[in-house]
Amino acid sequence: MTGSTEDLSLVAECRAGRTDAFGTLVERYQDRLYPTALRLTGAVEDALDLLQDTFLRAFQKLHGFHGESSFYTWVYRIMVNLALTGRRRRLPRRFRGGDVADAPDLSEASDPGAHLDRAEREALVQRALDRLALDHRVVVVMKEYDGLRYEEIAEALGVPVGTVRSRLHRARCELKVMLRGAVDDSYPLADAPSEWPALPNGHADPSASSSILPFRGTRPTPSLALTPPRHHEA
Amino acid sequence: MKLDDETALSAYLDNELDPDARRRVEEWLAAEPDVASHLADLLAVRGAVAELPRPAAPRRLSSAVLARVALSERARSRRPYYWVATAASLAFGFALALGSGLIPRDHLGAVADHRSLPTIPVVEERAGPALAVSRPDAALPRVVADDLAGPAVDRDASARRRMVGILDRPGLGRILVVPNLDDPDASRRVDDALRETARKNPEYGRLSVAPGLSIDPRHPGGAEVFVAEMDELERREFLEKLGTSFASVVVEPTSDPGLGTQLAELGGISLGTGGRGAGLKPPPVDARVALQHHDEGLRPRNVDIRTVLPGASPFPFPGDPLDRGEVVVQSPAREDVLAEGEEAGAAHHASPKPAGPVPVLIWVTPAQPGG
Repeated sequence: MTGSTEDLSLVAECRAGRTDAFGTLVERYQDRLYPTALRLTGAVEDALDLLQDTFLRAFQKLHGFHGESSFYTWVYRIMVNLALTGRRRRLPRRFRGGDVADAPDLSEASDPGAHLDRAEREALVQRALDRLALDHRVVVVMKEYDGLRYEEIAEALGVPVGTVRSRLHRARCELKVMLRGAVDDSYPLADAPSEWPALPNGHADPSASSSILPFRGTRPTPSLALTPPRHHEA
Repeated sequence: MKLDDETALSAYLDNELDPDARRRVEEWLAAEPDVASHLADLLAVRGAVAELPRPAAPRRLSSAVLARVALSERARSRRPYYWVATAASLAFGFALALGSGLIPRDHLGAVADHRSLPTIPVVEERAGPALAVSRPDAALPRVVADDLAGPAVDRDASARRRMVGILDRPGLGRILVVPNLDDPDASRRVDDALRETARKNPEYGRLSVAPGLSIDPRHPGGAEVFVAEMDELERREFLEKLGTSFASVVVEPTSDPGLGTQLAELGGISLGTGGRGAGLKPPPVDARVALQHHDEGLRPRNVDIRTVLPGASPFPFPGDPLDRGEVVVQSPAREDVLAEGEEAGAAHHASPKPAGPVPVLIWVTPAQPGG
């Protein structure tokens, strides 16, 4: 049986009253969903809460799943939409345990040139994500972290592609400001996609190693934001 | 040259543009070095997020999810989940046993002398079954249901009956005291731990106890008391979750002789079945009798009090009585309630706890006396 076929069988068993089959589905996908939940919420316990709420909602809506998408995709959509509604109870941040490691202060007083280890970078980036408006954060996580395309994001969220593009761009501009000084030539960069766009003036080679970017060490500071980022989209 | 829509930069970065739009962006980039620099910054931001680690879920969720599924399924047929907002009269009943007003021996068979007891605010009660109270005019807890469909009156009555049923059971198995350490969210976190723990019996209730009532003289403040049913495995899991949620939550066997006295009196109050609607039954004369109180078959009830204090492990120690499934019962401090040959404050082991879920009280109270 393929994964999706087996999922459909498990769903059918759940509908027939065998709720233990749903436990199998939970165990199958919780590790795939948890990282996204963590990036959306910024805290371990909140992420686990979100996941629990997600799976509970999925169980309650099983009658509406007919295999048009994979079970994972279906549950993923439920999760991001639950994150957006923000109905889950949230602990005050100071009382939360298991947060992503405490981040260095993002204030201007911090030394932008200080070396950051991996854990510090993670915490820094997560804190910047947490500062984004929720609808921007969701789009950034879905695009940058989970690699979805605009159309997939739009479909999952029930918004136009143009809205996704707009939110994503604004979020990136905000993150750029928040991470200024920390995201520099010492920061490891993600692998370039195979469809890497060619930049003019020989500044980028689409086939080049993803670890090298032409702007390393040559980036003017501060970088200019061509349009002041707006915090919320209408 | 300017581009009308700056968002095209991100779309260009993500290869989401058609060929014409891509060409326009590239012309823009070629003409504007600052734009190219901006694009590079956005690329670095993209990489920063993309490279965030992808950890595995820290614990298995399936059991917790299935427990909530079961709760959800039951909620659709009847209302298993509820809150009790205030419990003036029930708390008053506890006060008779737990407060400073120890019921004198010569008052056995009589209703307690209220004048020696702390003043407890009385809440007007809505329709519902009576609980064991020492004063016939005392109000009953006001029950507030949560997330349940149906008329409010039906929810409250059903929830009240359920709460009474739990408290009425003869097998009161655990009393946990959780000092909240000035954490205003402590009760909610206990609630979260209960939600995640409850598997076989996901139903539980909560009531508020007014200041002055205490199961532990070291923590005499008002409290939120959770009443749940758990088996041994669930209790261990619950303690583990408390340990995760509360950095300073621990379990420690109590050695306070006063708790023994409270134990005797608690036994007289918590099983108010016999006193329901008819006034308080007199408390037993010693702890062992307390354990057998209201149990018509005179089976010993196994009760263990664990005080949750800063500094220790949330798990039973190796060889800990709880770990061995034993019960430690503290003898009362008062000589007039000691059995013949029994030493005041002495601890002795009772028979092992019964299998299966038993009622558990989780007493969340301020850490400091009088808080």
